[in-house]
Amino acid sequence: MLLQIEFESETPIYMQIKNQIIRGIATGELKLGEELPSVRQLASDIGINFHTVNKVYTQLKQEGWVVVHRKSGVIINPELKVDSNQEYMKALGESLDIITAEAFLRGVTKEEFMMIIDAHYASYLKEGK
Amino acid sequence: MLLFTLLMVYIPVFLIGLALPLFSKKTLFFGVNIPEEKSNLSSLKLLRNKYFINYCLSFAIASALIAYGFSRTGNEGLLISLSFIFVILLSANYYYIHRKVKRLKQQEGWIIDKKQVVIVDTQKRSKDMAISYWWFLLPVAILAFGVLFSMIQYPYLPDKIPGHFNAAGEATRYDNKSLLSVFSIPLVQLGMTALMLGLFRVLRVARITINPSKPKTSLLQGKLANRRWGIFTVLMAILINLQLLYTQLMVLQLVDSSRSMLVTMLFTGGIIALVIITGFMTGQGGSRIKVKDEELENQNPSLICRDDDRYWKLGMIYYNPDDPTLWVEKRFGIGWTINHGHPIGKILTVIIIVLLGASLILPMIK
Repeated sequence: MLLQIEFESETPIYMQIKNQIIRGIATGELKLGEELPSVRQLASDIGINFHTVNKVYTQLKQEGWVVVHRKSGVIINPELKVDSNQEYMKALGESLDIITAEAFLRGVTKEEFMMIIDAHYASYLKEGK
Repeated sequence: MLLFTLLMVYIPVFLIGLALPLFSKKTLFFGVNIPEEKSNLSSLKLLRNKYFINYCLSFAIASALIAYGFSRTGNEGLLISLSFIFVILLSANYYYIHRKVKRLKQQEGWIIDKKQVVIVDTQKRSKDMAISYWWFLLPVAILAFGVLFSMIQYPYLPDKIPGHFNAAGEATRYDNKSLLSVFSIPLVQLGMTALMLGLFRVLRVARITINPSKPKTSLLQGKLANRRWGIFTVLMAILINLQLLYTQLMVLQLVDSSRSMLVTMLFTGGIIALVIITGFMTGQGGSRIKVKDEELENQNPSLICRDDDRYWKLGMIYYNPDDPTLWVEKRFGIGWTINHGHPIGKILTVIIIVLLGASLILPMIK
């Protein structure tokens, strides 16, 4: 999978990497059990500090997206089991809050909004679990 | 003889310098990061032609001055200084155009409406198409062959053995027979093989710069290029080892040295040809490798490589302390260079400066 990093973006680099990896798992571009590059390799390919990549992997590991194997390094969790717990639902509600508010003010109808969501879900379900 | 060596070395060097702009990627014009579609602008073509003309003119003048100086004084040092002058002329000609391109880019705002991104591949590099370390068994076998012969022959060697040959294959110096003098060439072979192996290792994981407007094509080109340079290091190790093996057999007096000059020329020519052919077929980062352009329909011209011009001092020296990579693709021409902002890069920089300074100052003290 190809990651696309924007240095000038408002989104911090570690966040961009993390988001794209999660999205890659959802679309199936990253297969369960697939190896990810080592911290060194990824940091040096992008040209950023090791700590930034370390932070990404640590967070992905804590949230259960990846596991760290002693032999093969960081891999996408082969037994991926991340559920929508209460904490997550609360965070989801909060992010949607601001997104829907702006969409509403800009005149995006509920139907249009749902269509976008549908399109995204469709791309995930194709390969999904 | 001297003239012959000069021609053998300087003509290829001159031609390579002339051809350097042809090796570059379309997104890097004289070391300036540009959107790919701008690479066909007539103003840039004019600048490139200007480089060709300036380069040829300055070399003609420098060579004529040196030739004149040499004919007046007979000082061979002048001829040797030519290589320094070549490097300086090349850099100056490059920098002159580099600055003009940079100004043009700024004035016309080429990248203002572009999104600058860095694209990386998450596939593990070692899994790719890099060739196996086992290929190095070939040069090692040649080396082992020489060592074996030297060991067998050692008891029968005379007390004095040739230590140095001139181009015609005549011994110009004799050394006392000792383990060190008999095995000095195998030691050099070992060193050269290790050097090539080191290069090979660097190339296996060398960073591939992906062009965001056509990522898949450029990624494939980069991988193919790294693979080719991997094969190149193996071939170089084989050629160097073979040539040294031949010299070793001359030391052991197992081969007659009458054809030495021919053999040396063949090997040297072979090495130069290998460099030029690989360079021309591959280009920087594989830019000259034709791959099936599957992406023609979904190219994304609004994306360009991150503008990193500011990290390239004088358009040729990479200094970026925030980048943990030591080896990076050269900005102009072909090959890799070091990040002088990297801790190891800093140390190497100091060593280079000290060595350069010493080579300039020491002759004056004498």
